[in-house]
Amino acid sequence: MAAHRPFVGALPYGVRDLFLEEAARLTSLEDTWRRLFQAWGYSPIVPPTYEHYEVLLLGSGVELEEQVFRVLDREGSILALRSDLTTQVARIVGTKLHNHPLPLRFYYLANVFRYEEPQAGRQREFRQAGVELIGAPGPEADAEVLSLTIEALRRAGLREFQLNVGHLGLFHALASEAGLGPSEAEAVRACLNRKDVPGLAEVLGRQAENGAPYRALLTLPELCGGPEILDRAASLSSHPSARASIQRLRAIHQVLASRDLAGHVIFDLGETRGMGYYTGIAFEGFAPGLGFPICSGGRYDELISRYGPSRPAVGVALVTERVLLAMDGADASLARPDLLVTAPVARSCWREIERLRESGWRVEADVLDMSEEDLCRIAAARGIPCLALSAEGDRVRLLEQGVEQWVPWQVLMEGRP
Amino acid sequence: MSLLWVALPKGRLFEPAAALFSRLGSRVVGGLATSRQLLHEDREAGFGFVLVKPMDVPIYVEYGAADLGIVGQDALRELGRDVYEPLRLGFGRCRLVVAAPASLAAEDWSRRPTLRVATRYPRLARQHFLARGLSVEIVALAGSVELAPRAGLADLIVDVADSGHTLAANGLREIETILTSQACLIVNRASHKVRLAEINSVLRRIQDLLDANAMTD
Repeated sequence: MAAHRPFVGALPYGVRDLFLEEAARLTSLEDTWRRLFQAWGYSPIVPPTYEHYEVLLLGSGVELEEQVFRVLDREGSILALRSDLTTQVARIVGTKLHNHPLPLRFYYLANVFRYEEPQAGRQREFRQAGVELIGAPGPEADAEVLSLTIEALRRAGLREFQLNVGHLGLFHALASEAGLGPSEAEAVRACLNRKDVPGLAEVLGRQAENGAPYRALLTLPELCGGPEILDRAASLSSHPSARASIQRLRAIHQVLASRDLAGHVIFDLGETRGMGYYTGIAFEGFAPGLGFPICSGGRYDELISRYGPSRPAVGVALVTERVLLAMDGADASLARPDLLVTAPVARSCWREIERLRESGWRVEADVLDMSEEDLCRIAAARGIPCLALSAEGDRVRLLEQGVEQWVPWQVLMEGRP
Repeated sequence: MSLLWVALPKGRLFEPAAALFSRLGSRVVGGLATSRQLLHEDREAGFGFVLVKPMDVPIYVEYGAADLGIVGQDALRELGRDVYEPLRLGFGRCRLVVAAPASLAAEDWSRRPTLRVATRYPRLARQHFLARGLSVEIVALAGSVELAPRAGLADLIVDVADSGHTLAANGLREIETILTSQACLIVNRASHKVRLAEINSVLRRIQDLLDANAMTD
């Protein structure tokens, strides 16, 4: 039997270990984002890692169905590892928080699971950082999520990145004006998402006599650029839903421009991608040199009603590990201790050490009873700037940059490490 | 300005693909096939080229290792990669067909309980037969698919037919067309977003060449 057992260090495909510098990079980015999200008034939400498959499917729809990791529990019910946090947040809001005052603001830093080929920093288990803003239907809410996304990417140290923002309303309006049935609309959508203009012309061939909406659909792939393309888009259709979506994008642009954030935003009306539950704006973020999107988000005004009373909502998920790739070359240093204390000092001065730690010092205590010489060597090798060799009364004998001196503990506590 | 990287397919599509990029200003691209150099920076023309197997082109482009690529729609549909395909180039036309030995082609082969199908297109072949409710055993091969029925490996094949000569020479007859294909230009999604102006300019120049060709044809 032993021959069939995997090597003790074997990993299944699609997962990875992070430790030392790489783990520090990830957690430090997540710490940055946690502080940012909290500063904007978002509170944490921690849904379970797995749920009933059917309950998750109700929200995520067939789109992610193929990618869901499923397991059977002992009663034979099908469980699914979450492939998306938004669906879970929608379930929680719909079933448990329908009496809560609105708006609700949630953030999460969590792992999700998708059964797909690992690509560009994304394994089958990967981390997402996201926010959901629930209960606000207007452009200010869309603009808040976009602004926060831009700020999150900036805090990660990215300078060049762009958010391509589209809106599903224009496509739906044109499809209905052109009289497309569901399967034709689906075929048109597939061509649009591939920017397959010749294919689009073929699919629409039979609709050619419908004139204007047909030409408008063919124009969609070109509608990508600054706010000026919104004027062009507005001329394509007078359908109320088309007008409303253009109006929405203009309003968002106005807010972002007033915050000097519009430079990161490209309007992109030629695509109809994104999660099946998106109903309004849908966007993706891109950084130079990375072939895959680093974040995606959108408005989902009908998702929560699948679980409870209807609530408008908008959110974004950043693909943490892809942002780390885009940060490329960012410092991957581990947090070093500020002070290393010998075992005797640790034994006799525990209270002083505790107080140092409380005042912000990172203090590591020797637990191997090493000699002063060995500890000096280790401190030098690990870049620990300061070593406490022995203590007497209220003073400690410090070795710092080759200089040995007696210093009162109090002075250490008052000074910054 | 950094180069736009182009994944070019080795094999029958290479010549017309290279001809296209030499008309876009690359003086070296035509020589790449014989130079055994698989990666070349053509600073003068603003392109970098990688030469890869046709089936690998969509992968290079999806991952962003190349910004652009030239590939047949047959390979593109088989691989199902998430890339843009804004232009059809008009060369490399072929059909993906089901072919059978004359004896089998003559009978109502769809009534056989199972069929064994040899192909370089396992995904498209499976889709094609399963969609019609036919149970098939797919044997994925890397080449010389037309030998499989004669050698007793498979009942049918799914492969491209350029002219039909190869099929006929192996005693095979076309019985169905799965798709018609031609070469197309594909683009990485993120490149298309981040370098829109450069890529649009290349697309326009290619479109102009295609239009000029269509006029002279």
